[in-house]
Amino acid sequence: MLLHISETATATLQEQIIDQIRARILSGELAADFPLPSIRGLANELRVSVITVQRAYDHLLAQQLIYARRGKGFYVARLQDSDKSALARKRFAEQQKTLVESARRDGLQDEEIAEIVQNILRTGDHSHHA
Amino acid sequence: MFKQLLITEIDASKTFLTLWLLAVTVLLLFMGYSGSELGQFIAASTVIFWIMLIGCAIVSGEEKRLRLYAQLPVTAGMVFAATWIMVICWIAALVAAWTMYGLLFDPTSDISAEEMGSQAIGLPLLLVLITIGFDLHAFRPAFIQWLYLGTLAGLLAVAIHRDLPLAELQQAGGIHIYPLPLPGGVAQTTALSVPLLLGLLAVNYYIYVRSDHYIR
Amino acid sequence: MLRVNELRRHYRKFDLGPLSLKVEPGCAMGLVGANGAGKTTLFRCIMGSVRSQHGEVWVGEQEATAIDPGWRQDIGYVGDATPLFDGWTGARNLGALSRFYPNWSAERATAMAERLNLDLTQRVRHYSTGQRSKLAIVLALSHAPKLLLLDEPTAGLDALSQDVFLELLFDAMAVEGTALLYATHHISEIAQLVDRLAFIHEGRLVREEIKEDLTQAWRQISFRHEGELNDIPHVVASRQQSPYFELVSDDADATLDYLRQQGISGCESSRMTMERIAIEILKRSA
Repeated sequence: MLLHISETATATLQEQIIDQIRARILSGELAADFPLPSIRGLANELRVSVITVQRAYDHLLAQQLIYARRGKGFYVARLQDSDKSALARKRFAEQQKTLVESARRDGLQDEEIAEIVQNILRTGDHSHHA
Repeated sequence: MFKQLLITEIDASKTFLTLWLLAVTVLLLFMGYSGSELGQFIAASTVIFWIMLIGCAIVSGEEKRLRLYAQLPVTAGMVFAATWIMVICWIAALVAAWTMYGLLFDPTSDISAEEMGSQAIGLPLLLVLITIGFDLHAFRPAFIQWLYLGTLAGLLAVAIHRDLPLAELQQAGGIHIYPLPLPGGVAQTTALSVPLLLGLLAVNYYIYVRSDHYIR
Repeated sequence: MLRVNELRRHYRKFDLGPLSLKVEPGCAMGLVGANGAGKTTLFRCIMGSVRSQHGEVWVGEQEATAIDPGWRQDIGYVGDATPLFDGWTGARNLGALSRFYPNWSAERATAMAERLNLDLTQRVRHYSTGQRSKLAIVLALSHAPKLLLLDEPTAGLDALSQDVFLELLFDAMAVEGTALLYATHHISEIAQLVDRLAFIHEGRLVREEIKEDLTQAWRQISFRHEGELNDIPHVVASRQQSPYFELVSDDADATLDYLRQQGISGCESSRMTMERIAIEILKRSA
């Protein structure tokens, strides 16, 4: 499984692995019951330590995005579309929270923030002011 | 693992062992055809023996090799034994050359086989005395080593002084290591040397296996 | 895979231990400490080339004793100055030392030398420091050891070879489940490799941490606040230039919670490199 892992990214290696596997599961790219690489195998492939992958898998297990079969390894969980969208929403909300806080620090009013978000959604261009 | 260690030891000192055999052969032929006496040959070949042995220890990096062995799956005892087996090879070649010289060039020499044996046993005896001095390096307090080496040098000086003048030294075939004349002659010397050598080897072994191969 | 119990060695001006340490099979432990902290002495005590005065060392199921050194067959050791036969070529050194290891694979050795771009036909005497390190690495890895003891193994290695070396280690861990104990001053070099970090100071193990715990918990936090702030929990370093605060926290969640309770919002927190964290820990243990 080819993931994009960078030492210089703002997220930790563990977070990067979690984020990318989650994205692939939620987008449906990784189908239900798809076998994930072994911890050691993925660690070797990504050139990260075993514990990093282990913690990432533990996190995904806790979120019930994957499940483990004793002695066999890890598989993508069967998720209802509603579950997927709930997880995606929750995550998006978390991410936006820090962004909104940062925008408020820069002095933007809530209306302005909402306007920018709507602009992005409409045109995909955030630098352009309506 | 002892076999592998011995093979490596032979491999490592192969060049010097060959050089040593070559040197002793050349000396044997040269001195033999120029009509030197057995005593002179024994004295000269002994000097070459020490030069070659010390040269081998320096060039092949004795200390480094011992450190390397300390990382391999061999015991310090094996390393100790392999080292001394190599020394015995060196001495065996020397004694063989003496015997051959006696038979070929000086059959009427008044140096008996017993005297030669006594002389031969003096070589490892001196070597083990020096080795102990070096191996004591790992022991604290440091003055033990200096005390030992100083005492050894003093005793040897007395022994060598006793052997002067030089003509007498040549006659006796090299350097005596006993500072006092032994009353019983050659047989007595050998009888003392053999247990002394074994005892000193035991002491050296004890020091070697208890010492660090790296000094902090 | 490696168990060190209450190991002790006394010198006139330095004491190693009492030191206990455990490296599980397949686990990679980084050993971090200042110069003279005792890392090399620890390695030599484990290998038995320096005698310990107290304590025991276990390698797998075998006690590491001088009487039966079979355990050394399971170890690959790269020291800071690996003694070699200087008069011999690299290939001859490998040939001679392969005799001592039943598991030795000549193909693996040649393949590794090739990957490291090491010329085995040259005499070791003419090798550079980097080339010596490469030969020591090939020696240590060719018998598929269960435990690798690496003491500053990358001395003199160029960036490319260092990368190849790390790949070889990752492969050994993935394929053979090799355990590692890796001492280095360049923490960034092992940041991705190790699972655990052990900190050594004045001959003692002062701290042992799971790497992920450190990288998750430690954060650099900055915020604006008018007035004084004292006794912020978990802060290990702080700088203040009113009204700006810059903190290093070893438990960012707790620190951020506390700041929130104090009515401080808009904290910026960023993660720290393993190297930065290790330096902060070393500073505190000194």
